[in-house]
Amino acid sequence: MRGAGAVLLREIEERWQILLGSLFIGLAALIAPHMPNGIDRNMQGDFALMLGGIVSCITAAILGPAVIGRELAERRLSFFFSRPLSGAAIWSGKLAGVILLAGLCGAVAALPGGLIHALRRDPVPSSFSLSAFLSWGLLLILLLLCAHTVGILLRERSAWLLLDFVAFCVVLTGLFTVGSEARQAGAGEAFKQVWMPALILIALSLAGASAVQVIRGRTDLGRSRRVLSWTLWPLLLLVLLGMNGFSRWVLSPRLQDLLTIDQVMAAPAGGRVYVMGPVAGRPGYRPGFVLDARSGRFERIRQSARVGIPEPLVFSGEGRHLAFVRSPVDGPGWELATLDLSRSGARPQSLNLLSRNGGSPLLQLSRDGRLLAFLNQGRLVVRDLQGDRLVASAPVGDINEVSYLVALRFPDARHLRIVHSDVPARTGFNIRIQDLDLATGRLLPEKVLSSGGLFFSASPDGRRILARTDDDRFLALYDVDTQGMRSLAVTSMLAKSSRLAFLPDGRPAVPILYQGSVELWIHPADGSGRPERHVFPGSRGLIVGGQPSPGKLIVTTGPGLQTWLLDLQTDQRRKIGEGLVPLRTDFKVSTPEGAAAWLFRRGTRLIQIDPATGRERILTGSAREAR
Amino acid sequence: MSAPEMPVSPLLAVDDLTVRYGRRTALDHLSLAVPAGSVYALLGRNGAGKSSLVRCLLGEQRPNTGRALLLGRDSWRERASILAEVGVVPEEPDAPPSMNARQISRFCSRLYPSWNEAGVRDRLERFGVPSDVAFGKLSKGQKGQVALALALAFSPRLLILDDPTLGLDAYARKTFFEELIGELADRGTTVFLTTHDLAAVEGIADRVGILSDGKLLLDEGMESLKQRFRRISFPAAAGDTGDTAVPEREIAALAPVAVAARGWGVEAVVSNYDEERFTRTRPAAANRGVEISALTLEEIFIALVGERKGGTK
Repeated sequence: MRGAGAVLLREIEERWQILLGSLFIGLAALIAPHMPNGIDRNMQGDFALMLGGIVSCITAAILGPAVIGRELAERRLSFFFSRPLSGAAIWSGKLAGVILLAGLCGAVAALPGGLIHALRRDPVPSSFSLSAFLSWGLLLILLLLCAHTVGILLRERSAWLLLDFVAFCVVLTGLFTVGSEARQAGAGEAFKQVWMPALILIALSLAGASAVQVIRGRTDLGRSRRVLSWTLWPLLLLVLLGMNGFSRWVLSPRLQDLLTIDQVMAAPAGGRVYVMGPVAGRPGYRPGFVLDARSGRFERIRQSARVGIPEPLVFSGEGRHLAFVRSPVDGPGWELATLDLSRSGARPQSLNLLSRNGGSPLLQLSRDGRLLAFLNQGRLVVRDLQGDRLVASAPVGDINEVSYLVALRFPDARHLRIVHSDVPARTGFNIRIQDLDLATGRLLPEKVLSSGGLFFSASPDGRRILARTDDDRFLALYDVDTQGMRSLAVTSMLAKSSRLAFLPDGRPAVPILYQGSVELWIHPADGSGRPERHVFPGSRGLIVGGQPSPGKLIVTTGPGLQTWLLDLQTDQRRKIGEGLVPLRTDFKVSTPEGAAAWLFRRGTRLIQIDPATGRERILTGSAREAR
Repeated sequence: MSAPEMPVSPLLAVDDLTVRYGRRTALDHLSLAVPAGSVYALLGRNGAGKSSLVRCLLGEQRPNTGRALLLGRDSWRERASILAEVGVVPEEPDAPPSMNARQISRFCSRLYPSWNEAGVRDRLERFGVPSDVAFGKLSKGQKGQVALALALAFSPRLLILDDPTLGLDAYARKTFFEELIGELADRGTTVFLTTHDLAAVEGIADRVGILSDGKLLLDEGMESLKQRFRRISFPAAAGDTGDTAVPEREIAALAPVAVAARGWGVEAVVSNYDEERFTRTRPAAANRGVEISALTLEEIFIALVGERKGGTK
């Protein structure tokens, strides 16, 4: 330590005059506010800090190649090596001296402006923080070490320089590839956490290589540069490998790593489930998984980089195609992508439909997955995915494109239907229905339903709509084609904490609160006649979870989230679960044994339940934490 | 060449040392030893390997084979601790150019436990070197004097001088060696020096090594070296026909290390001069005007190295 200290002191003694130069430069902060187009006086402190930072960085970059490399090239380093100084003491003393000097230069350059700032009792400059200070320190060290390394490599011109260049390109390309892969996978945020440790590791590699260069290379420039190259590049390759390994780990979360579920969607057929959410140890990364619930195999897809905002995603009716919105790799906005689920190992394909601004579009796939419809910024577009051609593109006016206020449906092979709630009108709400003729690309005349509420529920084929009557007294079933309407229930009886649903067999199921208990009223598909009534004494809310067969329903009642298998004929019910939140009636998958199962959430986990046996299977998150 | 005489505890020893730079061999399985208290002068032409040897000794160069020992310790592995007791004067004095002698001395005082700053000051005054002038602005001779003053300032057990008077004028060389002689007389410091200044070291070295092409041609005490080398001049004898003739057979019998034809006859340098043997044959030789004279170190060096290079056969 004594030796290193002596070398450090010598370095400062030799170059202390540059502190005067830094002070001189720092005077610019005093003049700057008085210059034409000068800085605001309130910014004087920040300006002084910026000046200090720049001066220190320039000092480090200039002294880096001079402190050891120049002495080595001019054969003056042997002055130190002919003294009782270890190589480590020479290296550490010299580099620490220069870092200290660069830091002092920065401090001295920031002094005049900082002093005025302090005398005025202005608040601490916004750019001054511990993290900024540490980043600045790391930058100084990196600059110094890079400058030193480049200085050594360039001073001895030989064929080694070519090898160094190749190694540099390999490392740079590797780092770029790792970062690019992470960005493309939507894990850019998660990867940011590794940049600081990576920079520290790079600085340590540079420091280690330069230390070995001084300790082993000693006074011979040729040997020094060889030692430097042989040490530096393997170390940097190790860092690169480490980053690559980290990247692989970040980009390969398992379903068990899902901390919670932001979005879940099940294919109407085929047993695929899409689930997306944050994963353990990868902050900011929200991968999407397309899971084959039967086999347990899954594929990761990049979807959204926007934290907490699930992007639209839709399965085709036959369950073999998936279309989704994702963030572009190279900037803001969104792009559309599809995934062919029928082909094993297929990768998502970009549709080259990209927008740099605006919110995400709403999506719908035709039952056969051939047509993709999307609504964005008042325009309804339909593309033929197989023929890769535009089928129709029509302006639909000012639509509130919030997903729960708009529904896109393919009522038949020739039409696309858009159903949406109008912006609140003075007398109530309008539910507007308009069809796009896919053959002509023209919009058909709009139908308008007056409603007493903003929300509605459209049947899967879009032919029927559950909505409130215009006087808000009844819940009604509208037939879009005939424009007929039937009242199903008095709105004051609708059970809160419940969900209206069209059952898979097409019948509307309406939870009603009557005489202190929830009743499930299942109406005929056209709303005519009397409903089947199933009473759940003591319950306050009800959600229909699925329809395993025409005569059976899965319902969950509250409080306590009791899940029942209800026999619609006998009204008998069997408890099959507890603490489970049903998702949608059509979120049906297959168990490994081939039985039908429905999806539920329990806390942050996705669970599937076989209603026949009541057997649960945890699909996401840790099984240990599930209960 | 005879095998080196290994003293009991040499302060400097080189054992089977080989240094290669690519395909070129700078030192070829070199072994030598410098006993405590002696002054060893290593001579050799440029490129003979002297600087490589010094770099190995100072731990700046790692040998390909063998090892260099200073104070009984491996100089590559224990360089820093060894140099606390070894003074060094390099071929090119190499202190930071912006520092003056006083600053350099102060820097060194932080590194050596027994630094004699006053001693440095006194020596520099004696040399007439200003201690407040930047090292880079000093003349070469002055730089060498500063280097010597620094090397002696902590009373080293061993001094290593790498051609310290190279490029110095006669006066600077004289003052340098006078100071060195004074140090030797005062403390009996062991000295290892490489030099081209043969006349100067002849008076102070008690052992000499001659390096050529990385090999030690000779490693022996100064006295015995000078005893066994002689120049024998054979004047040409007039033959019956009036031509001059050289006694070639007689010269060859002496196994000379160098033979040179002169206008007046032939001059041979022998490395195995035995006075008794010559005395027996002297009458005959004397009759023919044969003269025997001692050689200076420089003449011995030229005879040996020139013979190796094939220049003075």
